[in-house]
Amino acid sequence: MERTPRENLIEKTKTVIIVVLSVCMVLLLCFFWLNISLKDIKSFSIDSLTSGEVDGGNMPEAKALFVPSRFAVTDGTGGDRLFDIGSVACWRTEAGTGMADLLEASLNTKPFFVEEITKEQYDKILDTLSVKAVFDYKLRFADLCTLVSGNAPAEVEQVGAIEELSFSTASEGSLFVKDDRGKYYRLLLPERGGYLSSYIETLSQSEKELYFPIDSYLGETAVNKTLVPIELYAELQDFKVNRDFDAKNRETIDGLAKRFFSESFDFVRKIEEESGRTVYMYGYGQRILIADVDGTLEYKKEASDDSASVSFLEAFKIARTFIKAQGGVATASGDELQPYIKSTEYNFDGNGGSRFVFGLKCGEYRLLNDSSDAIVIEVSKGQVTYFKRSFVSFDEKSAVGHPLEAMAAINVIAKNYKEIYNIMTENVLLKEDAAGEDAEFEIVTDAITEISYGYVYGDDNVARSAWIITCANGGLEVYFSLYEGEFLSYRVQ
Amino acid sequence: MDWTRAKTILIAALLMTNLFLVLMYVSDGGGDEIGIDCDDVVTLLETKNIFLETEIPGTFPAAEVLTVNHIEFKDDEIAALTEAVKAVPAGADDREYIKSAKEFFEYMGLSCDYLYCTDVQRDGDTVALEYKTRVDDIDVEVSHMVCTFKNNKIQSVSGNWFESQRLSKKKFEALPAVEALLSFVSDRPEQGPITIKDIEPVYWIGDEYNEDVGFLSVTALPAWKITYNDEKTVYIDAFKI
Amino acid sequence: MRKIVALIVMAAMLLVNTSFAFAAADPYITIVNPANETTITSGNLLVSVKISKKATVKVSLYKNTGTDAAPAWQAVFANDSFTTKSNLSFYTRKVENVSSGKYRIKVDTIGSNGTAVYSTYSNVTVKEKAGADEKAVFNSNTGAATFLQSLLQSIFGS
Repeated sequence: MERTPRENLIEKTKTVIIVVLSVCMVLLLCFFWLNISLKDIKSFSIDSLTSGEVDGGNMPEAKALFVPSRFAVTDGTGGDRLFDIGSVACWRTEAGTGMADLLEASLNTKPFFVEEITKEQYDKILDTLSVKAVFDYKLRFADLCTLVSGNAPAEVEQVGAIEELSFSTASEGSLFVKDDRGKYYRLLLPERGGYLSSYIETLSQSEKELYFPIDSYLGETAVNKTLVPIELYAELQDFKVNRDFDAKNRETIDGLAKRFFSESFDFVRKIEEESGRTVYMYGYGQRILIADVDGTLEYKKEASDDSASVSFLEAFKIARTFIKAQGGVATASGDELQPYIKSTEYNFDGNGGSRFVFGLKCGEYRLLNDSSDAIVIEVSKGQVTYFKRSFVSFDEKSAVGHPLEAMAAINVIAKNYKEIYNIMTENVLLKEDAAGEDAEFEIVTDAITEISYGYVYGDDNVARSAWIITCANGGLEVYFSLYEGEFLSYRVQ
Repeated sequence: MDWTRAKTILIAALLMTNLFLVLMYVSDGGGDEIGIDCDDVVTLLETKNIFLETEIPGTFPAAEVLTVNHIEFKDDEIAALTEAVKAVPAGADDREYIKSAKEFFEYMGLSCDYLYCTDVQRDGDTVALEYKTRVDDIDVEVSHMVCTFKNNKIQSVSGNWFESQRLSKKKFEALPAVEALLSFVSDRPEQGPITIKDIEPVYWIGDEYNEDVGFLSVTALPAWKITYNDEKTVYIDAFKI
Repeated sequence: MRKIVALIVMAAMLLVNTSFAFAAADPYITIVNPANETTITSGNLLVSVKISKKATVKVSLYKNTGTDAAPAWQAVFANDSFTTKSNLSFYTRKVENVSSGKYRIKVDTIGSNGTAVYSTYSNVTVKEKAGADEKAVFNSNTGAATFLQSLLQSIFGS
């Protein structure tokens, strides 16, 4: 019997109702089966899908960060030329001819050969056309081997933190290591590093400024091998920087804070202070985040007692993951920055924890702040327990001008040694008081451990081209204008 | 086969099954955890030398997050404002004083919506009115203010005052008072016998803010305030994460 | 006549050679590098002069193209002027590719009348540098013994 259109419609409606009721029945059975409670349904919201964390923030891997701070090339006739890692192909090359490639080859050789040598042998073999890869931060040689080749032979455990990894054209079948315990080692290479020899010969003839040890400038009374450039023509010029975020912009700060507390942000206590600082607190101080008026973010978390400590490289992975989750090395507005490793500390807390301090670069030069570092992060018992970031955004093109002759570094010291001496005295960085001006000068020059140049900015948000003079084993940095040698500021580490 | 009739029967069967499942689910508490019996908790407390002298409240009235603004009282500004205020008639009762104080607060620019007078103390010619911030019958701890009258005129206003700004849109799953009591037992503040005088819901600013720093606004989270022994207090978060 | 000419030549030579020692050394000037009467082996020479007062100096470097008995000083660079503005400064200059031989650095302190009132000297000998020799630095026997030791260790274990 033919159905009427109305009857057809009714039948179709019934079919749809059956389908809907069947689906509902299946869902209800699932709730029973999986024990999903009403609480879970009530607390579900669109917000819970977005934790506030930024996926894929930029943060280079360990292999890209744990690299030499600089290369010192000498042809053995006096003076060194210094190169930034980004400007030369000394570390890793596609053809496998860099120092890291040679180290990897050495580590993968069976049997692996390493022997201790004397300081005299080390100095003598490198007193010819040679290159030194200098590490300004602490990195155990075994960890460097792991990064370079994936494994560290048992024989390298005896070596301390690497200070220099060196190659000499007089011994093309070897690599040399100087560690922080005052010991020197020689590693045998499976093949001679002929390509590297040719490359560093080219570098030794470049137009880059020559550096001499400070005792060469000062005479026999001084004993200090800190390298000082004899003259310098630089293109650095002053430029403006902008702090990471405006402390008055509540929306931006809340957005940044959510990255640290993610799903528990709703339970975070927020205190807005008169000074403009905002403090976020979770629990009874278990986690605290401070967004300060100077554009810094500081995060502290109590470590749980029942966790175990992790290795240095494992701690770096944890630190890297954390930094990526907070947006990586980029400002709140998304400007990506160029980090480098400034310093590290093994076992900073006595429980096997690791501490990493990162700086920022503008081109190939360091961009320093006279009161804080770009990132400080501490990993204790496998968790990030402290994190502080101080970022700035800037236009890199405005940092470069026409080449100008800088004031000679040695004369910057001669002009300002009293200032440096007074700063060291005020900050109790001197072991003895000087008797007279000559003694003051000698004390200051003895205390200098590094002379470099770059940019320094302070509260006025102007990055100035500057000489950076490091004293007292890294405990003090004093900054002077690059071209006039005028005192700018200082920082006690 | 009469599919029309079969469909109708199938719809009816599915409807009844779904209804049955929904009723079972809801009556089961939606899969929530089984509630804790208050009598069991009281017994447990007594075995731990903790005695209750108050009723155990039910759920937290409204587990929301409250944002409050800190109000600073400056003595010189208060003194200047009191000059213009009329005195209360001699022999006035508490209500007159409260009314006069309220007018003064409005004159000061304070919001009186959440201002609640908790006590009036008289001592000779001095009358002190104590106030708390109260939102939806829940006190904000530790917001307090004292308005002092001397010789029927307002002399001073002092305290640590927080004005309510807004409640969060999101509501939280509240921690029942019995669970707060269990937490109190496990983190026992002191040894020796404890007598719990009161358990009340509050919005708690927390201990971490520093009065000396000077701050504008703070988040007050729902908490259970447990008063024990000689007016000692403990605050326990009243929300489940 | 011949005797007169010889006398004149000798007097002229004496004058030229002693003109280096005509003015006294400046007590405020120290030629710190290279130090006086030292021998260096590098090909890049760092000239460093410490000046402990405000002054104008002129620095020259000469090479002896003659002999020890009859020196003939030829300028490598001459009268490089440097004026200091403080009580402690350094004049520095690099001289590249310096060949072996005897050299003399002269620092003239210029007075208000534009002439040298003091002259300070430093003599240095530059010698050819012997290249570093791997075998000489590392006794080759030591290397082989250690290699053999580690090979045995890898076979038999420690």
